[in-house]
Amino acid sequence: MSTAIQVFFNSLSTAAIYAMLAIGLTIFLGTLRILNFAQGDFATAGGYTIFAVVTAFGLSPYLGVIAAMVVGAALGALFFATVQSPLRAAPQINQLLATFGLALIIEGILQFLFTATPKSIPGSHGSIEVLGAYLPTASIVDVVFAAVLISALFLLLQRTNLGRGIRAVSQNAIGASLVGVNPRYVSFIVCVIGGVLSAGAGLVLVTTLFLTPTIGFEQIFKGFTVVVVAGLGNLYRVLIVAALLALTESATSYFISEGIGQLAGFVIIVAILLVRPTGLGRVTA
Amino acid sequence: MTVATPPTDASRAEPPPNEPQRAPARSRRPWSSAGIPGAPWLVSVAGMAVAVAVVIATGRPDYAQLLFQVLLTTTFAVTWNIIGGLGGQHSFAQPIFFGTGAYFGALMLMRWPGASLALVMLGSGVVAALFAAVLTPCFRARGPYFAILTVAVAEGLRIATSSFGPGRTAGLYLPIKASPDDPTTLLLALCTVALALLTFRVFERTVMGVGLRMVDVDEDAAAAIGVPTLRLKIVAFIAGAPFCGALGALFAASQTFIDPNTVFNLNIAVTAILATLLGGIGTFWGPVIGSVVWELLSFQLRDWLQQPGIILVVNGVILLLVIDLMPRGLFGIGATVRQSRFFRATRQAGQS
Repeated sequence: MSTAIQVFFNSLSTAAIYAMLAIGLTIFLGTLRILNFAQGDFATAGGYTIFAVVTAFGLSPYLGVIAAMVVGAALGALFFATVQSPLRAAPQINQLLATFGLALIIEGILQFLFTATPKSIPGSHGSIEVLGAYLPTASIVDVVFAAVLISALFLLLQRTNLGRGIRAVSQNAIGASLVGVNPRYVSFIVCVIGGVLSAGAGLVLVTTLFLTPTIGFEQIFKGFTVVVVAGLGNLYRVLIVAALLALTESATSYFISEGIGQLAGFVIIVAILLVRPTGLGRVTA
Repeated sequence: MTVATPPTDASRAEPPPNEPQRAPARSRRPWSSAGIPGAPWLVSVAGMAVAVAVVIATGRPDYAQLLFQVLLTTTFAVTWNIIGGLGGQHSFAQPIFFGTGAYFGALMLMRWPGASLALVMLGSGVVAALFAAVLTPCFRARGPYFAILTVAVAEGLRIATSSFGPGRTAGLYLPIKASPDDPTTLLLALCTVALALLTFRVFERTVMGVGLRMVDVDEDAAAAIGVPTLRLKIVAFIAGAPFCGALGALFAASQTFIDPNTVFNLNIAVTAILATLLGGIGTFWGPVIGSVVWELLSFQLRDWLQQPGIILVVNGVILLLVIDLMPRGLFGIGATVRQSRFFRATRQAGQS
């Protein structure tokens, strides 16, 4: 029993980061129709921002996350200016490659500023004992933070005019512009929201893993897995799938081996796409 | 002038009345059938042969290394151009083929160090093609999902090889059989590129190319009028694999060790796509020119900037600028300029 609880606890932080990355990816793919490879690097940039705030000012990482979100918003705006706006009518492969360019730039800047040696924040790795298993304190904060951020996004999407505009554009961009939604404005807001959400995922990176300039890029494939399995159009399903993927990885890593755990996501993505070529969700793309 | 006199050429004599008219192009270009291989192929291969000869003559290892890299990138770009440029299927499968070929080649060379390199390359090419055939179910997914699927297979293979493959993360150590500044290595690479270019030419100039372009524009419409879309995509996908695989074996033979992070690196696919877009997607010259320009540029940048972080940033900026400002690549720059807002504005101002 305590083993099962331990596996569940181990999956919490991972679930938080997958959920934040995948929701960012989903709204990018759903609204802007762009597969964003730079999303993971937004998270890395957020993580390093927190690291810099903590080491320079000695503040708590949970305060540094505000700075990270500001950086994320700026990166989202940069994405809008360099990728979304100039390439909104370009072929998909051009958009795809442009996001790679942005990813390279972010990774390069981080490598220049912080070097490639792994970094972590001292003293963020404590844990408490619950029901006979060890629950890392960082996991609690990570999950709560992710829950708050994602709930705020859901409220924005469901309850505000801006959110209705975003959903309208993702369903039918031309129709939305006919009824008075400014697609350019909505795109900009979506870029900023995606940037903030992904940079928030940097908190999880910095509290549970060691930061390297490429760590976010490695995480983005897990985000893809979640997006593919969940399909577009339903953000609740994205959350469930993110949690399930994290749990699967945690369980396979714990019971079989680390290597199998890392592979689980890729096996799932391949299997799902072979059976359901457009993912498990409603077909929108 | 009242009567247009036909050219007095023996091969163009009046055909017999009942015989259907033959295409006159046959006699004008006796070395090519339907434009295959054709002048562009001859010119590009001759150009690369001259480059190889010059590099061998100068005997500078850094130039040989650079040329080897250019030939590698050209092959990746040309093979990507078949499936991605003509067919519009955004495959990231190049590292899969390259890595499979490299590992197969390395294992062969470790087992039989005296084996002929050309034979090992052939074997690796066949293995890569077979592997591509195994991957054809990827085509069940379309659009961005196809791209994600190939990315997932490449990354999954990298992680699987790191965890369970021969040598794990450390990779395989093997004796250098053919270093890049060895003339044989460059010649073998040149032959592979020439064959890859010929393959692209075959696709470009035959009905297969027409079908692939239709798949790119509208796959459903193409299928509706009887284009065998799935078969075409599969053929175009598999056709590029052996060249990447063969070069994988050559790469392995030129290194002291290979590891999963190098040979299954997603950057191989990104560079291939970048080179193709830089030159001009779907054209014969695009990937060739793009690879040469990009590799020379990267070589110079590495020389000037030294700092790896800065190099990444500059690469990224160049990539973004190329895609933002030259959506049709170097070959379509004329059309891009003509359609630009500035050009149209100045021309309208001139007319009024």
